[in-house]
Amino acid sequence: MSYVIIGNGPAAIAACESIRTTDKEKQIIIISKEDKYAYGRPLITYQIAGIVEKENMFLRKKEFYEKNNIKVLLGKEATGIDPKNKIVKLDDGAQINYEKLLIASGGTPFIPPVYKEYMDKENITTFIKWEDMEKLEKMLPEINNVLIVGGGLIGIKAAEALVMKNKKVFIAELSKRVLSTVIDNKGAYYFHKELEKNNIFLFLENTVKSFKVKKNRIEKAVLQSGEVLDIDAVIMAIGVKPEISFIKGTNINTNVGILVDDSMKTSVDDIYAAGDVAESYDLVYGSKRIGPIWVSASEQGRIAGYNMAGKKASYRGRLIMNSISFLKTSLISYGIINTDIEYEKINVFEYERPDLNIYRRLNVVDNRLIGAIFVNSIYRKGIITRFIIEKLPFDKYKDILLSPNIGFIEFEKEYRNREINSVKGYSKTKTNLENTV
Amino acid sequence: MKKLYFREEWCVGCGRCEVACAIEHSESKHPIIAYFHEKIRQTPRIVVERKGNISFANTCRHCEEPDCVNACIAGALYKDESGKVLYNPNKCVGCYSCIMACPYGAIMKDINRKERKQIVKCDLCNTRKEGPACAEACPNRAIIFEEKEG
Repeated sequence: MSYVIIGNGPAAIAACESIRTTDKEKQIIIISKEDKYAYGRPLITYQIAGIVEKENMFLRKKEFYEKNNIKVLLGKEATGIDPKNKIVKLDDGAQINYEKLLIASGGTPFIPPVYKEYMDKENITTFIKWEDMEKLEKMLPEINNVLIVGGGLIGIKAAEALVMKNKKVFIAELSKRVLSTVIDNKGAYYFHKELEKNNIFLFLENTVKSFKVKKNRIEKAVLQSGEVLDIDAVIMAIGVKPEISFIKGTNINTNVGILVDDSMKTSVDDIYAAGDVAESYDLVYGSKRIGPIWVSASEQGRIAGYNMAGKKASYRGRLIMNSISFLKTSLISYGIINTDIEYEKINVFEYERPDLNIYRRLNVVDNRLIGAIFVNSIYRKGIITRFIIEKLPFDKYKDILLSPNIGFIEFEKEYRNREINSVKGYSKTKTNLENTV
Repeated sequence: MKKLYFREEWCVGCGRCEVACAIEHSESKHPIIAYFHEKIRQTPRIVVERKGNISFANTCRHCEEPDCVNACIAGALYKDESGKVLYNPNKCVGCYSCIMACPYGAIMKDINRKERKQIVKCDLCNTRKEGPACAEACPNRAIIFEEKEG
């Protein structure tokens, strides 16, 4: 009997580490669909661009697994769970017993049905997995014109890598702007500008209607607007969805992802979920949502691990945050960034210097900060998370929040002296560590 | 573990801690060479904030559950056995997720390193026998390096 983790990303690693703070003995088994030890998927961009070597993409050294008695089943896929007998079934027919199970299977690329028939062509790939990276790497010397379908986080980072490799890049994006989930229209302007500066053709409110294939290779893309592009390669970067196919037939409650409580437990005893696959409490929205971001995968994996090993820990909830740069333009944004219809009461405060490519925006509801956008103005901005998490009164701090130089000096004396001298440091996860019997 | 603690009543805002930090993290560890002759001028890992007659220094708290480590996509930030939160520049890709996540604003862009995006952060002068250079440089004992119960 042991701990079993389905998935091999940041949530899995964090869970191993927190399990080992309590239980040093029992084996941990990681089931990894990919034939690789845990690595940083966002690093694929940087590997293609030539900034990071493959051997530096791994999150932990080999010794980590030996030292912590972690067995990684590489290239094995979970195909089913039998909660009654506490068994995970694998694609090779093997069955693995678990005492506590963590589902941290992450996301899988979302491919709309119209594109499915093209996915086996030799010059098309997604931009998520190790094999995608190797496929693209192999193609690189022979390709020049590359079309990226989707201008979100993955698409933009793929574009950056390709531009650094002197490729001609086209991006087709359905919405009015790139990075539509993490930035507003005004902020996206600075990314559009940077894309244009680097000779990237951006087709907004547009997408691919069909591809023209010759000898198993995609040669042309026909856009909805009628334009026809000659292309040597296609990257599909539309998005990801939680990978939950293997839980069919169980009583694990799902919505878009697997629903979890604040201990990361699912509706079934001894089964936990964390990371991109989990639909967990979001502290800004005040409801359960999926939120595929690296930092909350780590946080949730850590919380799940504590609870699996018998230490009580509860998750304060996710604060969505994203940091993304495209060449010289960098963005950090937090919480709710759009004036969604459900937030009509939103008050927007902005500072903009188009001449310096600087833009800052704060979204405020009922005197509380619920979201923020910072373009090319990221100095010490992590301090902002305090205002969202702790619901500090906005009016009192409005000026520092909009200023370029946020710091502690504008906080109340008691607050700042306590915080800058904190012995344990800050914890967004609010792990209330109590030993349970 | 021993950490840095800051006493604003004692701070005169002289900024010597920032200078000592930048020099300590330079190659030569010599003030003039470090500032004028080295290829990359070091960015201080400690910040002195000033307003009117209030001033104080602050830097990384080496958190028990560091948000920067949770946020790092590259495995470049890590907690060592002693509890220090350390940085491996060779693994860093300059995504600035740590800057986004750190609630102390303790991680800075390495602004003078032009060829590659990197960050700097306090390492408590990990390899310095005498302990952190900032605490030693403070003329007023406004920065203390000691172990406290939390």
